[in-house]
Amino acid sequence: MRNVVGAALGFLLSSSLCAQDWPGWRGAGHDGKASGFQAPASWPEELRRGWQVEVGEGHASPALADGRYFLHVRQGDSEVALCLDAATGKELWREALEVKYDPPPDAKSYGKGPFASPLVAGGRVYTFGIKSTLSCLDARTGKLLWRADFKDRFPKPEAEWGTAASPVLVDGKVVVHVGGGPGKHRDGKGRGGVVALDAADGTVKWAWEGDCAGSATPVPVTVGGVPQLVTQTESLAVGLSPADGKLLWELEFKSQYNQNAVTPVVLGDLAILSGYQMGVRAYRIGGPKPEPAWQTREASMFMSSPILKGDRLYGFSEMGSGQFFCLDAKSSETMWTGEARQGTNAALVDAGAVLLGLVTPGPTDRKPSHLVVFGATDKEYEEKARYKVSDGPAFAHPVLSGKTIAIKDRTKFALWTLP
Amino acid sequence: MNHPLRAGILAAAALLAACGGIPAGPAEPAADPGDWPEWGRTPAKNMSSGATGLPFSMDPGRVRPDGSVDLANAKNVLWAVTMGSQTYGNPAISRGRIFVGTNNEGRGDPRFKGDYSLLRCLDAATGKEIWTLTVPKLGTGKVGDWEFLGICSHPTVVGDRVYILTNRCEVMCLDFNGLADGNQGDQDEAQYMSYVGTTPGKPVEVKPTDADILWRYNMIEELAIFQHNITAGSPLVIGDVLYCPTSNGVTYDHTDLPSPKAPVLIALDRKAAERPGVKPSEILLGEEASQISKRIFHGAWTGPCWGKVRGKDALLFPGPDGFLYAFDPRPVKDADGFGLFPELWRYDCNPPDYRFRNGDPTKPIQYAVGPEGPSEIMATPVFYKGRVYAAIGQDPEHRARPGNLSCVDADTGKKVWDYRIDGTMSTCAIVDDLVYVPDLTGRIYCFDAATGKLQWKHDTQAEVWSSPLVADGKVYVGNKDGVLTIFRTDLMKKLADELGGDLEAKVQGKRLLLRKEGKTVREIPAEQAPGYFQKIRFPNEIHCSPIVAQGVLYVATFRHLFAIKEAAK
Repeated sequence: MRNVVGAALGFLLSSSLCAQDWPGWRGAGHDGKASGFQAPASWPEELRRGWQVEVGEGHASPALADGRYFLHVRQGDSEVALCLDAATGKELWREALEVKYDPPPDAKSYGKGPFASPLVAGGRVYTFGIKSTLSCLDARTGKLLWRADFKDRFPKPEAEWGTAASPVLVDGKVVVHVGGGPGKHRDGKGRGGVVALDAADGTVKWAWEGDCAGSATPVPVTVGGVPQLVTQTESLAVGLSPADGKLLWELEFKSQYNQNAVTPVVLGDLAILSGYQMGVRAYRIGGPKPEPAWQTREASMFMSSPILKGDRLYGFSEMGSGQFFCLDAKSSETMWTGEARQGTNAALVDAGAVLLGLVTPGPTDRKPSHLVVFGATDKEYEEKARYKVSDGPAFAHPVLSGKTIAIKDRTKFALWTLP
Repeated sequence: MNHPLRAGILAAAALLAACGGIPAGPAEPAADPGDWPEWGRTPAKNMSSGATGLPFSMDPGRVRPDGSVDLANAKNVLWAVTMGSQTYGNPAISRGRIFVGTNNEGRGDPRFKGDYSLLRCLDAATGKEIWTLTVPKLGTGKVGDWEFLGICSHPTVVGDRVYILTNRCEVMCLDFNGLADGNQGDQDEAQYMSYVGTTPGKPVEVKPTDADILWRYNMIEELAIFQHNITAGSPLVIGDVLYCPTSNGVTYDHTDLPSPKAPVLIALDRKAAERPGVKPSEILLGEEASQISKRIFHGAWTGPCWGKVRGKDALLFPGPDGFLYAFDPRPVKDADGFGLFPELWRYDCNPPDYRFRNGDPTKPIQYAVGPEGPSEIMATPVFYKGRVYAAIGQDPEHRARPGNLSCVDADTGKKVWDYRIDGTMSTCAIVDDLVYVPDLTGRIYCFDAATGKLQWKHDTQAEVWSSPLVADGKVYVGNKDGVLTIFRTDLMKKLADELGGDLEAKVQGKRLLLRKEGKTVREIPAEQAPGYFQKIRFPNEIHCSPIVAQGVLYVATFRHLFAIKEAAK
């Protein structure tokens, strides 16, 4: 009976999205594709800034659904879910939860979060705070429907560097990665895991407690007809069955500082992974044991997740102190690399014929962030436009819809428009 | 309560007393100038060598899926061996043996599962393992023994003795020959390797390929050191005296200084340390008493160089408070009988506006909070022709990088010149009166050593954590992208002389552009440019400094060690 309800709810949740929505981490398909954006034939000299709102701190990417932006920010000692009218920026509701948090010294420059993007589905908003508190709110009113903090399951629910993996929805279940170690490969004890909760009431449906959370978000994919949730943990890459959390495969994937942060992309049976100083590596994941396919050090991603277009992989490499790149995803051949020293991170969005990268300096640098538009071509790096969109760092993904681009920097949220 | 390791030391001392101690052995052979037995090769700590015939071009091969290096298509590579997953140790080489710190990842020794710190002794000709020191972690996590960092100390090899600072905040002396000539000195290796944090475990079976620990001095127990993140630094050996930085520092959250009275520099009697029954307090010859710890910004990870002040031997110490200190290395006993180094002078390597807003002493700028503010000295100073070259910088994680390269008159402690580069952790290389130093942002600078005039600079485009090597008319610099940049120093000097210096050497496509005040003043065409510079991409980041020994260039990346020789393959 419960399965039937779950399936029905899954249908309901997925059917409520409209083409222009950006309902969570990296959009509707968690692949960075902005389907409802009307990219101009030629890019203007400048973008026009519409409304701008001081919303609060954090680097959580905003979500967009049904004409409303949903943000998760920090104001003082509270994490606040905010709903803004997309046309005016007017606040429609807020829901605050006191979350005191002291980041580890080496993560202080990134602030106290939150980092995880809210998820909007079926008239509900799911926020996932810096200490892994998962809240389900009514998207219309902001009313709290249920909340889970995982303290009974994991002694330290937040990831080591603060929770950053975003929630995703799979078959009526909200899936989150919880727990900050010490991780499986640091002292042999798994103290975190991927947990699936019933989207309706927060009941835990399954949990895989194989390793702590890095900062990567699990993505639902299908490989050889078999559904999988693929993610990077603190020190592994894993494929889990979305139905019951069963481990389908795992491989060691350890980047320094236990901080795997890149959302995997999958091409056929090829899972493409990266991490701090790990280069880019591809593994065949169709069988019980992943097989290495290729690896390259021509590019390496730290926090930026790449975009797959056909068999071309576009991304922002940490090499060269930050540069865009394009690889052949089947062979690892470098098609091009852009100019070096672009910045610390670029949040990438696929807008069809062009890609947009919100390029930010380091978290405490007093330098501007730029929205960079470049062609989705494997011939060469072809920059179409570059707009200064903030005087400081901006790590969140830009949200593209119609002729608008919404950008959250460290504290402000602004709507930019195209002619 | 007695500390387990101190108990270990005392037990070892008792055993030494019982077994008669360490044989005196033959007199120590003089260091071979063709070797690289300590950080900077000699006590002056200048990252240079008189080696010749070094390779200019090379191809390090490809990494196989199992992590080993396939040299089938490599060029000029003698051998490559796989290290742990993080190699910060920097190799030292003496009499055909390499000593390099790394971690335990991928080692496959069933006795040691999980995180340990290693010092590996390899045969320089083949890269094959001779022995390995295995040091358990302290169990403090990032506070004082950060996970997976391995041994970060650069060893110093003198005769048959290898000196390092372990991740457990110990000064350790090892037998060059390992256990091949029997277990000498400390007899408790089996117990030592068994520790889980500070708790002894079941003694480990000792194998002939384990290290032979002769003695160890626990700085936590003896000096109340609170090491920040990790213990690092290189011991300096002068005669029978071992000068060591202590790694004393702030708490993990940077809000407190637990041991403000502990020294940041000590001297141990390395010969007395080998005497049977000697107490740890009896080998401590001296310590700085300039109250440097009270002013520590972060951690005291760097040791001194050796030079002359007004004709007399001097320790030139890089203060973790941003001051360069000159000490008389001969300790003078105070009223309580403690040996203290007389301070000869101190020089603030931070310009006044780094410490105070607009230089106003009433407006101090907090350390490492914003992009401005003072920095410490993390690079080893270099003594060259009566002057000391010291640069300031900070932990790369701080992202605040005020930097400054200072040239100080060693006799007076006064500034000769300084130049504002970005923060750096790199020790200078000084050859033919030219100073080479990279900064953390990845730019290499070449200055006139006498005047501080910029000759040329080059952007490697990724962070440089290591130090340069200048030898055989070339400067070698490795960066975080794993790119080894090599410039011909003679050709670059010629260009700088012709064009009046202050050049930026910019690689554009395959050409080399010499730019001055934003304009290209000379272009080296694509067909000639490879004679001026080379960029070699290694398979992993390079955080260790390239070194040379007996005509072979050694490049340690994070995961491999490469031996590179002209016409090797």
